[in-house]
Amino acid sequence: MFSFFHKFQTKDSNKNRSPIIPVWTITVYTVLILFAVIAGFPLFFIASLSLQSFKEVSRFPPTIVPHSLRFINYVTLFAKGPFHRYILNSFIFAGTLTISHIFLSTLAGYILAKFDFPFKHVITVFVLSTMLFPANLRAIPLYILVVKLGLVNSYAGLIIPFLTGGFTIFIMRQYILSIPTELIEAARADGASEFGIFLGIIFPLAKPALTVLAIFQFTLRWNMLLWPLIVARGDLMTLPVVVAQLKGTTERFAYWNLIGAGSMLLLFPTFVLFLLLQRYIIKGTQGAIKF
Amino acid sequence: MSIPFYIRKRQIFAYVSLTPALVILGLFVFFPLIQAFMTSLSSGLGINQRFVGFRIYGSIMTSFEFWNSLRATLFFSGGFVSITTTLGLALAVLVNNKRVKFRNFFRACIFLPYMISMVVIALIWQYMLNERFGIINYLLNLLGFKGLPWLRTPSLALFSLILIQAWALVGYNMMLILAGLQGIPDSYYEAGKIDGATVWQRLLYITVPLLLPTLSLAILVSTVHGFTQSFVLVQVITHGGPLYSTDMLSYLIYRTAFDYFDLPRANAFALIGLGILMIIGIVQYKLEGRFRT
Repeated sequence: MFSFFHKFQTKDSNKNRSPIIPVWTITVYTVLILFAVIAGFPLFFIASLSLQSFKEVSRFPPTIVPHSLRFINYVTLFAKGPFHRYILNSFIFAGTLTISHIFLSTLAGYILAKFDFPFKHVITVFVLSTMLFPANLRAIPLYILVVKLGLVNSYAGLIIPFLTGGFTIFIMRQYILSIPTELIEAARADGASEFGIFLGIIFPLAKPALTVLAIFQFTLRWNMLLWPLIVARGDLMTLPVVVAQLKGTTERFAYWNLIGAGSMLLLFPTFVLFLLLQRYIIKGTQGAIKF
Repeated sequence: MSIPFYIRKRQIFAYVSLTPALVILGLFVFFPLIQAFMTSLSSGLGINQRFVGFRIYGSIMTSFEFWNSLRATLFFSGGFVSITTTLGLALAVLVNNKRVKFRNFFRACIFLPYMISMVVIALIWQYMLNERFGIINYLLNLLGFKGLPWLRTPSLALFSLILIQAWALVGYNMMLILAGLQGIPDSYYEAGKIDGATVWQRLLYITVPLLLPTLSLAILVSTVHGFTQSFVLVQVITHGGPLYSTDMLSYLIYRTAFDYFDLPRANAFALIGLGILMIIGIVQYKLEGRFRT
């Protein structure tokens, strides 16, 4: 214990030596631990809920650790509806949009970053201004449009309006700006086709930014509620839509253990993504600052 | 020909490559906005649609639900942005300190809620904030405090939503600000130490001024985040809240369109929301311009 504080004191020999350094340390750690617990406990609680029995979940005082691990809750959940279908829908929605953003936004970002052509400035403003229009505000007219196109309650209607977006184009543009133009010129001098340059040079070089983009885009679309809620019905619903409906109208006597199980299904992929790819996520938020 | 062929070829490639993105953005972002504007100026749908000018906006401006919604939205936004930005700053400063052990673990823990779907967050917090059977009030009782009706009282419900949303997004703000923090060279702090500045003085006179661009970005991002994600909270937990206290704009748009099927009005609300967002964006841009050295 004393060696712990002793270490701090030697490092502070350059600073004003204050005898209350240990108090400072205690405050810092207390705050950090407190926030880590506040952040982590609800998530642990969901996991716990998903394994409790209906009696335990409706009990007061609330059960924090279940007596027995009722994995059967997941089976009951799958019996309530075609959950395999809902999960598939979510994967298709999130996966297709991630892939299309990777491809289309990188291409658009490359053009806006490295090419010169008439009306370039106007087009750039046009594209980047779409960043200001969140889905919330576009949803209603988009719905009308999708109805007119006859695409309601179809994968096409779910996916097509979001195939690319101003924000992702902006991110890729900023990153590609930092790729030396000489590389592109050299490839052109060697006789490479424009599209070949895009696939062979820009795409591989943009991989760091692409990884981050993919992670955030997948997470965003996997978790998205508004648009699938409006457009998808029945078998086409995505996981967030279904889980949101699990509660029903009553709060007290809802099957919170099943809701917990559904929530675990919903959060599992993004949680795994987070664990495996933390490095890239951190880099992603750092990258946003550089603009 | 004044423009060489090889340049023309590149320009053609540029235009062709941009076409998919432009088509999608034009068709699914701009066109709907224009459509929304036209719809908000008419009444009835389909065959009945007729142009009635700005009558709907007039009716909105004199309606209780609009001003109530505006109040709730601004209150929520203001509270949410201030809490997440201050907490984010504080946590970023703490986590940035190289002497703190396990800082990567703390950073990961605090960021984690951002990755979780807002639906899950809404559900679990509703369960925990139940005033009679929820764990939060149970713990408060154990500590000797009286449990609060978190989601049942008009006055508390909006505040509870702010707290839930802040819980979800403070980690993201922390990361954003942390990145800005790490861009401040250590030499500035060294100079400060040599001049005899205390920890607090270094924080106030070195860190905060250099962080202002980052902070303004964090504020803008928070505002947009708060606006879009708040819909999920209201839709899942309060449905507009006890006595319309949580009837925020994002939810108002949705329920006007899909509960009342009043599409022109819903579109009008959406456009007003867009206008507010753009004003905030412009204000933020102007302010940032003044802070840049």
